[in-house]
Amino acid sequence: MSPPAHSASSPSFEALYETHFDYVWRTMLRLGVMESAVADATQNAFLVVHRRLHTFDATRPVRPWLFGIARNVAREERRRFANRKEAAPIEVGEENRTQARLEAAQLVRTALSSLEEVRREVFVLHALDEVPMKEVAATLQMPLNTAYSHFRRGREAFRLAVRRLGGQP
Amino acid sequence: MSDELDPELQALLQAERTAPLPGAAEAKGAILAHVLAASAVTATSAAAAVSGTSASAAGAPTATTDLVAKTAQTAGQVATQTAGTVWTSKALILFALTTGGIGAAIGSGATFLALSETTPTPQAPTPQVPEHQTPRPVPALPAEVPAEEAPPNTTERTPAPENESGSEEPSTGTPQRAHQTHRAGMNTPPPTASSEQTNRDSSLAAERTLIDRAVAALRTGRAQDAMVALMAHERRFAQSSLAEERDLLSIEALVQQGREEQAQRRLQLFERRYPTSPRVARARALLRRSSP
Repeated sequence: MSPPAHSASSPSFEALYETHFDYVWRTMLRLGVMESAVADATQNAFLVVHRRLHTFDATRPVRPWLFGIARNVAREERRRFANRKEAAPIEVGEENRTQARLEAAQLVRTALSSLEEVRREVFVLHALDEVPMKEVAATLQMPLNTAYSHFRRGREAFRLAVRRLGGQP
Repeated sequence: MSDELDPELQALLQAERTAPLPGAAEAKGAILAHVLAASAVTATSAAAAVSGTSASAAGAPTATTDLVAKTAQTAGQVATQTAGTVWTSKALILFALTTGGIGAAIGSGATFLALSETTPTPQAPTPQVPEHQTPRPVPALPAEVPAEEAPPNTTERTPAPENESGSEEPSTGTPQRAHQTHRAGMNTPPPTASSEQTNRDSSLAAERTLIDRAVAALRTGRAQDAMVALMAHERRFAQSSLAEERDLLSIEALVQQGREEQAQRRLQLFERRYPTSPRVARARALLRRSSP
């Protein structure tokens, strides 16, 4: 946890950017940044990444670290437009699997938006990013049990939201 | 982990993980140029502003210095070119917002996606845009510094209050943030009779497309895809003239997935909601067929 020196094993910014750009972008969407703001938010996140790369501990997984940065930026973004309503997506294209995935993604993100902030962060990291709970707790700076508790509640809220959105009983 | 979730939720999550990111590929180059240029500027002028150590200067890997310098020189150019492309996608969305309503908005996003998948550099015809939407590069130089310190080294979960630059809007000449223009577009729809008609038409068309997709998916045994389409329809068009058809299809999708219990509950709901509908008999038949 202690900030390591910038070491030879640290990834270069360009490599990190190339590999994880989509991840940061997607994380913004998961954390409730509206589509029209996601480019700005992603840029802001990478500014922080660039500035703080020397503090990254290369012995640890990079995604939770990026998630932490993205989370802060996303929070800022959401705060700025607390009452926005993202337009729901609608397709006009032909039927295809890409479209189905887009629809599903929108459903997931809408459901996520109904979760309390910390629960959403835990849920996204664990359920979507498949980060082990121990790492989730470390990333979000909370005791393991607390992380589990947030996850369980988040999962339940997510499940309910999906059902409500999908109209399932 | 995700395996603690129901299979259908897992399927949803998996779809989200692999869903395309409209606009991301187009924005990637411009954002990198801006980040590197901005970091170069920061490194030479205001490195100490960053918390703790002079992180920006120290943080810029020497390997990137050349690139940073080069990029700083050409950032304007790159930004104009590449972000112009980004903007084009947003313009499409704005355009749709002002002409076809919310429905068509993401429709155009989807259209754009399709475009971007087939034509990597969409120098698409720039649509007509409301006069207040002047084209501009999307990613601005960081007039506002994003929420700063990230875990794992901070305990504070509330975002650090921004430094003085945090509350500033981009200075004159700096492109504004994209969502501001987006919101402006949403707040000022031109409510003409013809545009309302267009809204209704595109809305109905969008509804129909969702239902048709569900039907096609069911015919080819892709109940999960059907369910996704039907859920999307219910979410967006809860009160719709196609609701009855949708609800019947939902029962069929559940039956096809072997989720009899839920199908049964949906059937009861269906019977209550549409007691006189001829589709009730079909709905019952679906469940009878599925029962041994």
